Amino acid sequence: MLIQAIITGLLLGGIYAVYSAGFSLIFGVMGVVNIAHGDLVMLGAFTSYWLFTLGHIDPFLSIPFSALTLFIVGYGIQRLIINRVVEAPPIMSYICTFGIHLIIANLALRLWTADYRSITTSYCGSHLECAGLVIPYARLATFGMAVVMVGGLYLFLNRTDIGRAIRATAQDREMARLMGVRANHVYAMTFGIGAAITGVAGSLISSYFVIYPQMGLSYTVTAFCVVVLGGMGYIPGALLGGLILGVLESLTATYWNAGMSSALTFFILFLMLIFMPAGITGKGIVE
Amino acid sequence: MIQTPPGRAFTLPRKAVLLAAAVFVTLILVPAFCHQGYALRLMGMIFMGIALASCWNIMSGYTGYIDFGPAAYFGIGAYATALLMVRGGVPFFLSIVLGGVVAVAFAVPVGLPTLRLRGAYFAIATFAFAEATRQAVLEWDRVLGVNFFQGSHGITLPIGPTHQFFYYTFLVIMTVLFVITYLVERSRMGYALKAIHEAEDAAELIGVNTLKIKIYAYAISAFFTAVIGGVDAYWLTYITPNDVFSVHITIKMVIMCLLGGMGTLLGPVVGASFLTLISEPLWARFPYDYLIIIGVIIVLVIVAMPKGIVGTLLEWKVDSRGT
Amino acid sequence: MLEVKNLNAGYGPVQVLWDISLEVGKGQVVTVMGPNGAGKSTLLKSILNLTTRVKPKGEAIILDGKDITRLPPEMMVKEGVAFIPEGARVFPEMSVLDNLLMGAYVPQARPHRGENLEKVFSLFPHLSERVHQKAKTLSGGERQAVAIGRALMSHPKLLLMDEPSLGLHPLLVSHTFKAIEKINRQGVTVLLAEQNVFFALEISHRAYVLESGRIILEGEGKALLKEDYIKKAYLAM
Repeated sequence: MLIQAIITGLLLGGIYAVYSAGFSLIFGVMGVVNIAHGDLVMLGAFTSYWLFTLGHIDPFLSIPFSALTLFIVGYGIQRLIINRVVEAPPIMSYICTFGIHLIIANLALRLWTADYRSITTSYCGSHLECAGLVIPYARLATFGMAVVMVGGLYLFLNRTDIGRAIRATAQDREMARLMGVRANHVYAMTFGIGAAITGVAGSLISSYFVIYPQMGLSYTVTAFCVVVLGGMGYIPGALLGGLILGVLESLTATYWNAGMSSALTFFILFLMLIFMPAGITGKGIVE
Repeated sequence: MIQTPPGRAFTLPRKAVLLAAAVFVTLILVPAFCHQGYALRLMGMIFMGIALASCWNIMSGYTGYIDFGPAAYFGIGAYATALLMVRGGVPFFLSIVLGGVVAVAFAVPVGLPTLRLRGAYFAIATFAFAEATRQAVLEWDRVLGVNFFQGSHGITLPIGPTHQFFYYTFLVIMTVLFVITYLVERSRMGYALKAIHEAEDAAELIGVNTLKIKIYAYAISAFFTAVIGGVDAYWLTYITPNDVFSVHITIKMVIMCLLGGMGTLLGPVVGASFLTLISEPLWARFPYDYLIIIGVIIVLVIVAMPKGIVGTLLEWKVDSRGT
Repeated sequence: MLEVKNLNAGYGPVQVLWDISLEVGKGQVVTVMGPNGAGKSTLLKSILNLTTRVKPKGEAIILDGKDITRLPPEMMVKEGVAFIPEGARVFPEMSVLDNLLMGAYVPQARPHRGENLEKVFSLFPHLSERVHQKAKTLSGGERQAVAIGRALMSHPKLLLMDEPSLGLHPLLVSHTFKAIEKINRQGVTVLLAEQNVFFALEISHRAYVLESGRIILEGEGKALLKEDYIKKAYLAM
């Protein structure tokens, strides 16, 4: 039972890592804590849901759509709204993204009602059985996708010219400017990419859990916890943090009670902030 | 060491003091002339709004550390008061004060690790705390197999007195907070708060114990938020975790203060009055889009008028006085 | 190559530069020198449009015939102006290679990436041993080299250098100025802001002396070394 719980947790943690990586990217480059981040997950999930329900497109195949949709949404939000507060004191961006959260979550509620929805594919029951463990294929696939996504993001940031420009802007905006980098463009790209990868996570989640318009906020909190665990602004850390949180949540649900998950998240967050604010890897941006 | 700003805490133009006193006396006398339950209730709600906004202002407005979890203390106060009154037979006024104390008992350990770091951590940590508290109170009985919080069944309090009673209670709390804000603004602590807001590292360097000051602000805010929560519990007579720990409470507090002007004395007054007055018709007309509109208002205020109504007016006053 | 006319600039409400006019000929090394606070850094930053301009009507900054007075800073590198700030300001978390590649971000520099990298490594051979090291772990002199290399990667016509000798010990300073000379001989025009008069004037064709935001002296590089004023103020003679 323990191993099963751990495996389930790892598979779950992979997905956590994906949207947390987006959150970490946005914070690392722009210093913006995106309170609406969970709503981006929600939008990605619903994109897949509607494509599945109306277009019979498999959630895995809908990934490019949700990535593109969320990229556009993210780019737009940044260019139109967040760009105006990026240079202002950070508190402005928190409240601003909070306002954006209210708009997105409640607009979604208005459009799609509060009903819980889920996607049931033909293959969602089939699983791998080995040594008494049950591993659904779908979950294995989502985990694989998740690792690919985080790895892809890391490679993008470190091996491409744009990725380099994004990193440079994060480290010294003025000097990056003098190399010809347009900060506005970089910020919008960063937000767009962060949103896109988060949208993909949403798609993966839609095949996993029930989804509903108000789900966003708790995902934002989870993202924050993952990122504090792994180190704020450090992408590989998001993977580590995600896996750890996933396993801890799984163990709690198995041995104690699933109802206390947000209490657990907060508790972990709390402990990390006291003892290891730079994350387990020690590479987080703290002050 | 920091010097107290020139002039002492009680210097103020005579006119302003007289005006404030006049307003206060008027408000005290209102119920004698107006017996309309609805009007008294509305005014009570405005006072409560002003008080809540002031609580948020004392913490986030002055330090700049955005607190996204005041709902936690509101709920703690509500539940503490409810449980004390229902289970312990403790009288109302004592209950709400004890509720405040319980809130502080949580606020200090929550604030200590989170206020040492950047504001971003504090913002989400406080939010996480509020959510966790809500869930804990909701699931406590079920998970631990006890009969304490009653979970979603909620707790029913003894029937409270008239609207007049709550009118006066909130009037007093609001006035106390107003006076506290005023005194803090002009005291050494206010000076320190300003320093923390504008240049925390520099403040540390000149010897300000920024952590201590931040904890004070946070604790004061938590205390009064809990007290207000306790009064509200008595007023509503019935509480559930999803009501009193609701993120909507936080939203209201944030936007009332933001709209009026964070870090100003009158900001909460203006913001809360305005919002409460337009809330009723807004809520009635657009029950489903209400929060969307609030979200749009927040974004617009941040982008166009980040200093809020009072803050922007103050800026205009300074500008027009000449360069 | 570069003409500055009647520049008045500062930071916000504080004016630092008063009626500055100077010229940098193509292929030359020109030094602007002066004591701390004279406005040397401000001058360079003003050319890049990073400061506040006062009296914007009277002034002009012309690069190779093109008016760049109001050009935004991110376009400067496109016109061939590269900046090496005081203290190098390399991207700390990025490797030496990444820093250099970042310098070649502008489209016109990309095709020349390979050849420019070679040039940089031949100028500063010790960097080739540290290619993948994070910039923040380098010594002051190495960071300076990276900053210069990064600027060169943008394939510039004009190099603006702010106090390259600052914080470096004398041997390194001499190396640095020899490198600047080499760069100049390869065809890059250099405008230098320096306090270290001796080394700077050795390699300069012309120089200006800036004091309290005004130009009080100008002349041929080495000739200035003999000026009494310079001797007294800077060489303690």
